[in-house]
Amino acid sequence: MATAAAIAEIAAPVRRRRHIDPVIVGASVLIGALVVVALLAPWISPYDPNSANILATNQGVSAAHWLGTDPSGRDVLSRLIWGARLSLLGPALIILIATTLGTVLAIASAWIGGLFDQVVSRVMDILFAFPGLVLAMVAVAMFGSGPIAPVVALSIAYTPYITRILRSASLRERNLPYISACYVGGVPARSICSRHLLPNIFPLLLTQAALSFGSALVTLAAVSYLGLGVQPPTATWGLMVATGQTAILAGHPGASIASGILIIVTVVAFNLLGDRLANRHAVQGL
Amino acid sequence: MTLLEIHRLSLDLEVDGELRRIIHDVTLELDDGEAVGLVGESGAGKSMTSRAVIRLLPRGARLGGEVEFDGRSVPAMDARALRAYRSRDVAMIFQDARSHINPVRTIGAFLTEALVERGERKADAVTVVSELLETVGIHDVPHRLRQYPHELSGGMLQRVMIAAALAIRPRLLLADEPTTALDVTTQAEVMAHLDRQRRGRGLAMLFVTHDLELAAAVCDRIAVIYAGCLVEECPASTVHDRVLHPYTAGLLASRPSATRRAARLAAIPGRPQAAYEIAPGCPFVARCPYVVDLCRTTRPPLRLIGASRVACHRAEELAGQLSVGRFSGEERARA
Amino acid sequence: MALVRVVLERLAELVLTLLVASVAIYGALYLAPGNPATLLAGGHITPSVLREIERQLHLNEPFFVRYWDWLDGILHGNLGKSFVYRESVTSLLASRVLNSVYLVSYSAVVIIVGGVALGLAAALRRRLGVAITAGTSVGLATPSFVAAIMLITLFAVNLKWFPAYGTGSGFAGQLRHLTLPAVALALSWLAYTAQLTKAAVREELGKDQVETAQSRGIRPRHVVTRHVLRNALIPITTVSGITVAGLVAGDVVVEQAFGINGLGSFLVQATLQKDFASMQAVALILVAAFVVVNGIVDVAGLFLDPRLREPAV
Repeated sequence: MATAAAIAEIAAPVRRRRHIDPVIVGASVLIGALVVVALLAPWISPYDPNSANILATNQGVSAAHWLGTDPSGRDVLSRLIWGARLSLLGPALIILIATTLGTVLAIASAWIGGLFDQVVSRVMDILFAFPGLVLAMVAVAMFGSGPIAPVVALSIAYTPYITRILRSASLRERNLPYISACYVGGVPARSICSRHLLPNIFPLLLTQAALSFGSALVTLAAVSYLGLGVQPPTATWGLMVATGQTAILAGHPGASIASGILIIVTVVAFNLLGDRLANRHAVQGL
Repeated sequence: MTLLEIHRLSLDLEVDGELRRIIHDVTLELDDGEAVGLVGESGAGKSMTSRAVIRLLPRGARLGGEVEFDGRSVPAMDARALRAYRSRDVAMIFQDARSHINPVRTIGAFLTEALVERGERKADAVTVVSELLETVGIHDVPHRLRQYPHELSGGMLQRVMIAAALAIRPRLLLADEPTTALDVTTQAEVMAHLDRQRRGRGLAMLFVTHDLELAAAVCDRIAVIYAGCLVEECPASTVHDRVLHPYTAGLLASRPSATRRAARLAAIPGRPQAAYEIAPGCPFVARCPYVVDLCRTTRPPLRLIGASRVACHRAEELAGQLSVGRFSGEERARA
Repeated sequence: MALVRVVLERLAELVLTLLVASVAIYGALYLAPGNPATLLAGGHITPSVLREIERQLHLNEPFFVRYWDWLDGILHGNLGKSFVYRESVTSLLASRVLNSVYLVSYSAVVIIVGGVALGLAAALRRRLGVAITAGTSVGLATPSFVAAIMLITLFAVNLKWFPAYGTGSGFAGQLRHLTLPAVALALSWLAYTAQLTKAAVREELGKDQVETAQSRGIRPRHVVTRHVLRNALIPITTVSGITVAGLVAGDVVVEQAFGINGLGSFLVQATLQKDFASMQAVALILVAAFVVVNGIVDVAGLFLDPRLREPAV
């Protein structure tokens, strides 16, 4: 018991709360609102997102269609609302898988070290050479277009970024006295990793997740834009930019630009969140 | 002939949005070819005083009083005049040569930069600095000129810094703790080079250090600064026999000596105070063993006593009595 | 000497990475469902004809034999044969590769010049810095295809300054046609480089060597170029590897957005048509481009930072 108390004594202190950062709040509220809109799509969307009307194509902003209609005469606002579902779910899955995979690999590499660490690093280096989009295209060629193949491919593509950063953080943390104290105190490795190492790299993990989310959203949207992801008529933001593009030369850029702006705003929110979280760690010396 | 005149210098820096006093009142003169040691504890303002001479101050610094070099006001200089002044008249030797010399440029580039910048031919500049490197004891010069700072030892880098300062043929050297960052054996060697070159060239020097003995050894006069105030200024030769300010006496007592035996090395009681912490009275009042009521209420002005100037109300009274022992361990234990 | 050894080490690593990557690319598409022989023959064929085609194409050989043939062909400039176009991939790519090279190079110039200039301005001028930081935050979040439709809308449709699609002919024509694509491709990486430059320059501005240079009366312009920018280039270069990856991927999207007939749009076509031979070749070229440019960036870092070149004393 004495050992446990001594360990508790030198264990890294829980970081205390800081004052509330308006940027973090603003970005979180925006992201939260988008998630709510996505969830409530069937109830709040004014029209059926897929009902085309060839008599009302490429309409401008009006009381009936707040954001106009697309080249098939579908309501842009409704499509954006429904599109939020897959456009947000996709990157969320990618980041979830990549951070889980990355965290496990990073902590295992830092803890086990030696050959395992070297092999993981080497594999990550090689994966690093594949741009996510190229990996996604190879996956689409193998398994066919649709939502699954690109998400799996991008999860793999984002893993090395997360692993690399978390590995060096874990390594730093691992060498701190409180971990040695746990080790000497006879705490099993698995519980040191899960109860001490993980909580201490968690803020960094969250930051990386936020920063990678924007990038994953953009890459997945690009896959959609190229027509390799979710197939029409299902709405995603990336696909909407592509379908709207056909009307630009005719002078109707509205549908394309509306979804483009929504992508930008969402990514800005995630990036700001990630940046602010990162700054807080820099201040706290993580 | 007076080369540098610092008159009632004060300095405030902006710290977290508020002004903080770093230097209260420093008045000091330097003659051509004269070396003055500016001595004090860390944070006393000695380094900032030397930087004020070259106007190398942090953003948002407010300078008060006057600094005149050869009759020209330094604070009043425009950007062009300031550059000319910095590139011809005065040269600064910094404490940490490793960080003060650009790590990604060669030693040769560093040494010749200032000369080339002021219009001299590159080849001539190389000749000048090559000779200088030899005189400060660096050999295999052509090779050294092509090397990068990380390939040289700390002592060698500091000699490079000295050579760079001498290269512009200045009239005044500002040396800011030039040997503090070096290890002890190298310190003596580098200091010897600096001292020899300065004397040989008849340069004036403002030597900033926390080491009173070292200052006394290489300078003509000593100026002691405490909490941003000049407290005593005296000829270097009298430092050991006749100091007039209790703080100077305290500094002397807290150095180990080969001739004096003491059970414990003396220390000045209390902690060094920053300029912004001190009350209206004498800056040393909180730590002085000779304090009287007057010291708490009125700041003592600098007064001329013999060859010295001192800011202490009781200077005449205490003359000759300021003992090293008063600060030593056994004395305080008895009191 | 140390420099040569380090460069050789990097070269060995690079070759190894490329080899493993090529196995992965070839292997992934080797495992993919769909028999090229069926595709080639088209329609209904008897099993004996199928086997004959397979024999001719060496489709019945084991994986490593086929991989080796493929790699051997690539090293001799033969990128395989497209079953969709019934033409050698090498000749299919020959006309397209230059368009991509022009686009990416143009974009790289825009990124380097624009990004470093903006970042430097943001670091040196505080007021301007706020505006630039806000601008780069939005730029960073703008996907290349969104930038593409916005640029087309504004500069091609409304202002009619630049053409919206195609590659043009002659140097001036190509430059005009590639301007909007290059900017669309550059935008987010330009913003990234600007932010990076700003941070690196701010960091160097606070360093002691700057103080030394100022104390010696060096002109502000020279202080910035020799003692701030010169040093800041090291982190900027090191991190630019990720920009290269972004450009390679972005090239695919931008070519498609602007209808440029290059490697990227060809890869999209190949993917949609399951043209595996073409995909293997283009994917390998893109990965190789990334790995090689990254290697060059690495070595450039060595040249920029003398401390990495030789062990310290």
